[in-house]
Parts: sequence; C-alpha cells; structure tokens
Amino acid sequence: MNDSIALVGQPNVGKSVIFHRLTGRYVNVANYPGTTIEVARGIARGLPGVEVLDTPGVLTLPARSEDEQATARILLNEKLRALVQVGDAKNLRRTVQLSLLLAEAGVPMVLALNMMDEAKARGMAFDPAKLAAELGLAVVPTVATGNEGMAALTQAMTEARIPVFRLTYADEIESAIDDLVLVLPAAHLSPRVIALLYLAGDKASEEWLAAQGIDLFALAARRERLQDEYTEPLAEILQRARMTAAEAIVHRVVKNAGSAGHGWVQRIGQWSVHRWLGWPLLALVLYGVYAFVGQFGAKYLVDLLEKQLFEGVINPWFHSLVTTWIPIVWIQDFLVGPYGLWTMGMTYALALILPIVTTFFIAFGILEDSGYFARLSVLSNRAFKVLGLNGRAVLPMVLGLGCVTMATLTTRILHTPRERLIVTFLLALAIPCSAQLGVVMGMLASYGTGAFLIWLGTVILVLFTVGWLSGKLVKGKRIPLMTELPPMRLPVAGNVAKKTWSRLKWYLEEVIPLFLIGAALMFVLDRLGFLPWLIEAGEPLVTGWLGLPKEASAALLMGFLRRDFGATGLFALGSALSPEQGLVGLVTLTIFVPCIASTLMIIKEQGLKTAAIMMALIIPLAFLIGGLLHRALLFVGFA
Amino acid sequence: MEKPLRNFAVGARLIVRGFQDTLAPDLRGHLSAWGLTPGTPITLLAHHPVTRIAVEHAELALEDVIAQAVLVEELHPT
Ligand SMILES: Nc1nc2c(ncn2[C@@H]2O[C@H](COP(=O)(O)OP(=O)(O)OP(=O)(O)O)[C@@H](O)[C@H]2O)c(=O)[nH]1
Repeated sequence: MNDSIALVGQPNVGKSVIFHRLTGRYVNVANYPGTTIEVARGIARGLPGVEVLDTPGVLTLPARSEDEQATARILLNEKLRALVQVGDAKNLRRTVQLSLLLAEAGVPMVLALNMMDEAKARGMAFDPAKLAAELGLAVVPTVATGNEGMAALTQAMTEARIPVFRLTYADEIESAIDDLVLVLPAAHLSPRVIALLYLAGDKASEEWLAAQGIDLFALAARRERLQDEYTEPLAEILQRARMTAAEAIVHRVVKNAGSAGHGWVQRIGQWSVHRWLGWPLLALVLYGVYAFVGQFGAKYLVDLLEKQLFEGVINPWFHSLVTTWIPIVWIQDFLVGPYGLWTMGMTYALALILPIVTTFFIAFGILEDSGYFARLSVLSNRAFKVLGLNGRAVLPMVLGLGCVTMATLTTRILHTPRERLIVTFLLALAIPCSAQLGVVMGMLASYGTGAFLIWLGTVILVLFTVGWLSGKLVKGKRIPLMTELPPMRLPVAGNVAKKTWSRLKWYLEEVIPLFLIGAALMFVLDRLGFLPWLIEAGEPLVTGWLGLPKEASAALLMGFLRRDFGATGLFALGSALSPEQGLVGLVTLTIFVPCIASTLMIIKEQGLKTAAIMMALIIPLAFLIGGLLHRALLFVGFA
Repeated sequence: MEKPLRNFAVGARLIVRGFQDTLAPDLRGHLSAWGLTPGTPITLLAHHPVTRIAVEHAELALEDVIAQAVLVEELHPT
C-alpha cells in the first residue's frame, strides 16, 4: 500500500500514454478522449514493486464532475510514495496553477512537462530548471508519444521529495486555513491542502472528513464566515489566487511564448469547425466511415467470413464432427441445430458481428486520436440544443453506434446528472449499435433505398421528438457548450491499434457469453414448448397491431437479449416477410429495449428505478411506433 | 472599453477583463479553471457555429450565451 505513485493532471495531457510507458499496461477501454473514467493500476517496469495509478484528468481542484472527484479521493485515501503531475508544456500557466495546489500536499512530487514536441513546434522556449527552482520540485520534460524523457522521469520518481513550496493566500484565507488545520485529522495529505480543498467546497474532501467522524458543522460555519467576506464563491477566489501566482512564475520562466501552430493538420482542424467548410468535411468523414465500416466491414468481410469460412468450411466440418461423435440427438441440436450454440451463437458472433465491430472501432479510434470528435461537438451543438443538451453529447452518441453498453458507461464524461440521464435514455431508445446496424443494413439493402430512408427518418424523428420532450421534462437547466478543442493530430497507428484491441477485447468478453446464453435460452424455450406458446400469445400484438407474421414474436423475444439478435431473427424469417413487414419489424426492434448488457449497465449507472422507468417507456413506445408506421405504410401503399 | 466578446472582430487580440453577472457561478468557475481569468490575453478565432478563442496554446469553444458574458478589451487599441 505504501508503494504507489499517482499520475495526476489535466485532461488530455498524456497521462494514459505515460502510464502505458511506465507500466507496459494499456489502460482499459473505459479510457476515452478527455477522460480516463476509472482509476487504472499497474506495476512500474523500472521500479519493482511500485504500483502506478492513472487517474481521471482534473482541470483544477476541487473537481467539477463525478469522475474527476475520483482523483481527489485517491489523494485522500491512498498513502502515496510520490505524486507525478503530468502537465501540458505548451499550456504552462494552466499546468503551474494546478502544481501550486499539489505542491502543498505534503507528498513527494515530480512535474512531468509532456508534449514538449508541440511546445517546440510552436516556437515556445522556457527553462525547466528555473521552473523547478520556483516550485521546489523536480521538473522533467517529456514527449510521451515519442518515448522521450521516460528514463529521466523514472529516475526522478525514485528521488522525489516533498516540495519546499508555499503559496501565501490573502490574510483572511490564511487565518481560516489556520483555524481548520487545528481540527483536521491526521491524513496522508497535509492538513493545509485538505483545508484548501474543503474551503473550495470539494465534495470528495467533505465525504472524507465525514467518514473520519469530523464534526462538519463547525467546519462549515468557519467556511461560511470566510465566504461572507467575498461576493464571489471561495472556489473562484482561491483559483484566481493560484492563477495569478502561476502567471507570475510563468512570466519569469518563459523566454519565448511561441505562436499558434500552422501545420496542415492544424489547418484541417480549423476547417473542420468552419461555419461552411465544416459540413462538406463532415460529409467526407461520414462517407469514409461508411465505406470502411459499411462496405468493407459489413459487406466484404462478413461475406468472406460468414459465407466462405463458416458456412463453407467450419460449420459443415463441426456439424459432421458433432453428429459423428455425439450420438444423443438433443445435444447435437443444442450445438449445431437451428438455435444451436455454435450455429447460432458463435457463427453469428464471430462471422457477422466481429468484422463490423472491429472496423467500427478502428474508424472510431482514428477519429478519436485525431481530435475530430471535439470538433464534431462544435458542429453538432445546434442539433443537441433541441434535445436540451450540448455538443459534448455527440461523443457517447457516436460511440453508441459502436456499442450502446460502452456508450452508456461513457456518459460519465457529461457534466450533469441531467445530461447523463437524457443521453442514457436516448441511447437505450434510438441508437442502434454497430452489430444491430449491420444486420439492419443487410436486410434493408434487399428492400431498396426507399425502405432505408423510411427506417432512418422514423428513427431520427423518434430520437428528436422523444429527446425534445425529455429535454423539456427532465428537471434542471441546459448547460451551454463549453469545451476545449485539443490540437488536431495525425493519428498514431500503434495507438489506434491498441485502442481498438482493448475495446474489442472488452466487447468480446461481454458479448460472446451473452450470445451463448441467448442461444441456449432460445433452445431451452423452444424445447419446453414456450416459443410456440409465446408465438400464439403474442399474436394479437404482433399480427393484429404490427401486421407481422406470428413467428416474428420469437424475433422480438430475442430482441430482449440483444436488439441485433432480434434483427437476425427477422432476417431468418427471410421471404416469409414482405418488405413492408420487414421494415415495420426493423423499426420496432431498433426502438425496442437495448440488449441485456446495456440494461445492466443502465441499472449500474442510473439505479434500478430509473432503469425500470426507462424500460416501461421504451417497450410500449416501440410497439406504438411500429404499429403507427404499419398503418402509415399501408395508407401510402408501400409494398 | 470592456465589451462582450461577441462584439469584436475575428482575429482580434483581446484581454479578459471580467464576466457579466448573468453568467452562472459554476460556468464561470469552469472558465477560470481553463485559465480565462481577468488579465488573460486571448485571440478571437471565430463566431460561428460557436465562438472559438485561443488561450495560451489551447483552443476553447464557447456557446453564444457564454461568449456574450465574457467581457474583454482590445489588447492594442488602434
Ligand atoms: N504530440 C504529442 N502528443 C501526445 C503526447 N503525449 C500524449 N499525446 C497525445 O495526447 C492525447 C491524449 O493522451 P492521453 O494519454 O489519452 O491523455 P490523458 O491525460 O490520459 O487524458 P485523460 O485520460 O482524458 O485525462 C493522445 O492523442 C496522445 O496520443 C506528447 O508528448 N506529444
């Protein structure tokens, strides 16, 4: 416990890359642009027995969002051997502002000034040794992506000392700190820093103090008394004091402030948020993604794997193997029958889903690494305004097109519970994941472009209508867009590969068992005679209201397990469905409840009650829309 | 003369003077965390689709209501 080192710093400064360099461990999928969502741990390669912690980025302390609070919690609860602040060298003022707080934490500390390559490229020049002297701690310039400065950083980590530094705040603040320090319990952090955090209203520190059995009333009264001396919130007063001090230090250290980046990658970055040029550029990006995921992944690769490899080679071989060696018929059926574990579960997961999801994650990783998503949030802000959200919501929504479960977890990057709730609901309602999209596209392709447009139009209409309503109904104010646009960078192949792989691994670990369980469940239900029963029971709804053949009930039931699974069920009905029926079925399934995994994730993130309410809204809505569409299609004579 | 950010032309070099009281304290706190405190020099990059500014070597995107509440002054008055 005594031997951990925490990496702390602002969002997107390269903590995760440094963590990877130090530990050899690639940080899990939950890692997302702007946010490492959960704390990752790994053993340092250069320092045997020393554990390194990667923490969510914090712009400043106290933290402003839930996941940012994890960082303060670590500082309060872990006995750290050292603290490594990772900072962006080109944004020195902001970096130093955070150092000024951390340096008083009473923990040995090193400042890694990362992205030195970008600082240099912009003509910035400063003296790290002088900065080290100002802050009373070791400063190591690094280029994490280029593996520069890592040995020096490891060395500095072993020699780290408690910084000799103290920032003097205004007299009344200092006297409040002195009063608080007297009653604070012994901790891993200096009482002074805990007092500073508490005065700024830090939630994590309040929780921690309450857990230590401290009487919060007395503390709160003292804080109130200090607050009464100012019109502005204390958090901001403290922040400004540090910013002013940082400004002065940076002024003494920097020789040349440099100028804006002018490379062609930067230029594309500017174009991508340009009021006119942004749109054709977006169309180009969308087309590229479509060509790669929709054409290459969903058509070419699926065809290759499913038709050639599985149906052509593996399945016949496995079928004969099973029928030869296992004489019991029901086991044969269980493995290679129509709902068999292998024929349905594995073939589907490996031949159909894997290529689509892999190409999607590659495309997503490239866009993520380039910095395009932040720019997309600028372009899409107006659309999200209709939903009572802001452009930041574009990140989880686009990720939802890959995997809704993963996207639900990623809603944590949003700043308010209100935004998280709305996005989670819309993800569950109307965002088809890539697996489902693949199947839906495949089926729609045979019905023609008109059918595709009707499907798309209906889903978008539902998304915006329901989104608009939830924006009005969910309590709380809309937060206007306010976001940082990281520099546009050329994606690094190795980085994208690692990201894709770790996402894929997460996906496979989550999905394959569910497929197998799903296939097994269908098999058992079929055997027990439940499927025929359900098909009868669902007839009024499925046949009467939606106008589908009664066998489609089974597909809808499978939709409970996974929406795409249900779509495959419809697919399997094949020519038994007219295009009109297929279209109605697909729209109903798209809006239908998300898969079991994302339902579990919603419960985990939002609680059982909220999840239950969502399901209670979504299921009837799916049937309502399906039925209405059925009638509308009959009315216009769609065949 | 300090005026809202939205009143200046794209490309202007400006200096932050303060914020309008209409700006919610939490949003204001967020801006200051990004280094947008009184005295900070910034460059105005665009007004549409949202306001974009450069602070140090970072680029921020701010929706109109926020940009309207940031009070700035020209750095080199002409
Ligand atoms: N040019 C350059 N890019 C870097 C450097 N270090 C990291 N990056 C890139 O910066 C981006 C952010 O890196 P991450 O490691 O995800 O940042 P982080 O600090 O962990 O971010 P959060 O987890 O969101 O807080 C990635 O695209 C990296 O490839 C560097 O030294 N130079």
